[in-house]
Amino acid sequence: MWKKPEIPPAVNAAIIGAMTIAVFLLDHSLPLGYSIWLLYLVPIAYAFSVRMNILYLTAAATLLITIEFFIARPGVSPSVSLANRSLGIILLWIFSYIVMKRRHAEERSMMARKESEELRNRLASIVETSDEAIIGKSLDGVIQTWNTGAEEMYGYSAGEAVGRPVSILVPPGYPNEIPKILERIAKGEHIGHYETVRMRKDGERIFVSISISPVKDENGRIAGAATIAHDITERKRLEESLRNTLSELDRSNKELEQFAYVASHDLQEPLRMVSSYVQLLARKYSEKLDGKALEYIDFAVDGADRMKKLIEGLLAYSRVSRGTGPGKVNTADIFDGAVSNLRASIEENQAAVIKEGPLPEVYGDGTQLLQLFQNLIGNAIKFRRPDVPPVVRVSAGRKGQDWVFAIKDNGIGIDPKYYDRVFLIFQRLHSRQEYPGTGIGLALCKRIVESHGGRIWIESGQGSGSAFFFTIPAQEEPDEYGNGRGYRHSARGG
Amino acid sequence: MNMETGEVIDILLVEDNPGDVFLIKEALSDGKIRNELHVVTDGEEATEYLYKQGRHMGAHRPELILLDLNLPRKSGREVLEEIKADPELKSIPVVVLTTSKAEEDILKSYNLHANCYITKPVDLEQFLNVVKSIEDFWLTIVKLPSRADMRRK
Repeated sequence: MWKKPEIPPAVNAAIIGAMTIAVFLLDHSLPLGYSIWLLYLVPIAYAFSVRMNILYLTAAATLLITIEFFIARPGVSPSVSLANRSLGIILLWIFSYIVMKRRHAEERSMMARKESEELRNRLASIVETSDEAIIGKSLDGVIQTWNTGAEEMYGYSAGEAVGRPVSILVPPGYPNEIPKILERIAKGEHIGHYETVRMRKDGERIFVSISISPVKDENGRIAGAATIAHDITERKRLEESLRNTLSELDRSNKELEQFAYVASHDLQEPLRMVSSYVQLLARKYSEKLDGKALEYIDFAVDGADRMKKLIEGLLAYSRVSRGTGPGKVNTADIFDGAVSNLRASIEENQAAVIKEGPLPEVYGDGTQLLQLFQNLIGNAIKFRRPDVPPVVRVSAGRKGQDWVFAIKDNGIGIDPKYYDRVFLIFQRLHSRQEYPGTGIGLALCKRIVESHGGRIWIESGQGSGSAFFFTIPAQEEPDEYGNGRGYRHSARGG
Repeated sequence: MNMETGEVIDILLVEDNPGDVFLIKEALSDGKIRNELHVVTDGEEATEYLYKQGRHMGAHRPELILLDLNLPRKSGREVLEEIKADPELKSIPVVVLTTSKAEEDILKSYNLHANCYITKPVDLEQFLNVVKSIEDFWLTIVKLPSRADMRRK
């Protein structure tokens, strides 16, 4: 390439000017100078060598050669002189053109080299400053490059790591998969995001997610591998702790189920004994017992009976989350089922249970919804005014995304200050003499409604009956197109 | 079948709760049928009785088995499974009589070929009635294979 001249541009211009004038004078003073003007190539070559623009110089030389044609002393015939000079001008321009072309190519390749160098530097600094460990290795697993991310992650400095086999990172006793990986790399495969365990210099094990790609040399042959490793120890630790929590939850759920079973069996067993034997006592020894003793026995039997209902209620409450599983449920059928289950109570109280308008199809758990309807209708009958036959009206209406169900009665009503309290477990507003019950029924209703994604509330005034409302989202089972909303009304019943 | 001959009917009761044993005895003692109630108190002993092992060497093959599910040592489910897997024993009707109302217990018992599943009522009167109904149904209404037929098999 060119040597970079230290000569200032003004001096160069002067030198070129002097040379040009010298050639002009020589041309002028030598009448036989057939090809003296070829010497113009010297200042042009010089200008080119100091990276000056040679186009103006070539134009100037053309002008000077032309002038000389008119003013030089004629040594040859004008036609020969004209031919010579024309040829000379053409030669000068051809020379200039070739030289300029060459310079442009040189400049372009210089630029490209500079750009690629910059890019390489930029990439190198990205690699160098990355938090990820970026490691270059040969196909036989020898570490060739080692960035600061790798230093941080593995604890080896670049000086310690480069030249050593990459297998120093594999914990002892851990299967070394590196040779297999390098085999695949050699075939040109890319290995993306596989998770494994690596060992730091201090012996600590870390979880890493690794991507490995083949690196090609300038001939396109696979010469090595580039590994990018990301430390996922923290994520693994969180996953592990989440897994532990889940299995703990699972275990505690199983224990709860076990408890429910124990409640249904083991708690009832002794209770049945108490109840049965007190009754047996009353039966076998009634003539030996006085009225008071028989009354005591009644209390004992009643207590055992209540205990049994409490246990059964608790059991139902604890099992709401299980149910029979969700599906399409027609609440008109549920209503019929509840009425049928409550037949004895309805007849005994001479109650009227009326379905007002159609009841919709919803997505939910049939067993639980039956329990819900039964409890609410049962309550409406139970909390009747002594002298008024109970009338219970059940209806449903669409409000936004929800179905709102209403169960209204003409019973004793509930004081608004107890509206929230009635839904708490074991909360009762009346003495058992007035209205028997365990205080679980409405708590169970609340739990069922909430497990269906709805809510339950009361509107009532003292003496004018109660109205229980609850919502069930009008959301069908998601269809195959993933559209979960959009309910087609099924006007059954009513 | 035994009414005419006046033969005593053997019933095996597998029940660990003495209170229930007494109540069942009480209910059966009023019955029309002469029966002999053999009581074993755990699952192991039930199998020993049925296979006439140990102190049950001279045991009679029962005509009816009343089986509780929650038993010490070997559960009622296991006993039920063994009985219904044994060609000699599987024709004996097994009435599961238990406190549990759990769906899974009911389903599992029928899947193991229990002949019926009854939850013990809390009320004494109902309890006595249930035991009497069992006796009525299985020992007078239902026709069971005769002992002679069983032996021929």
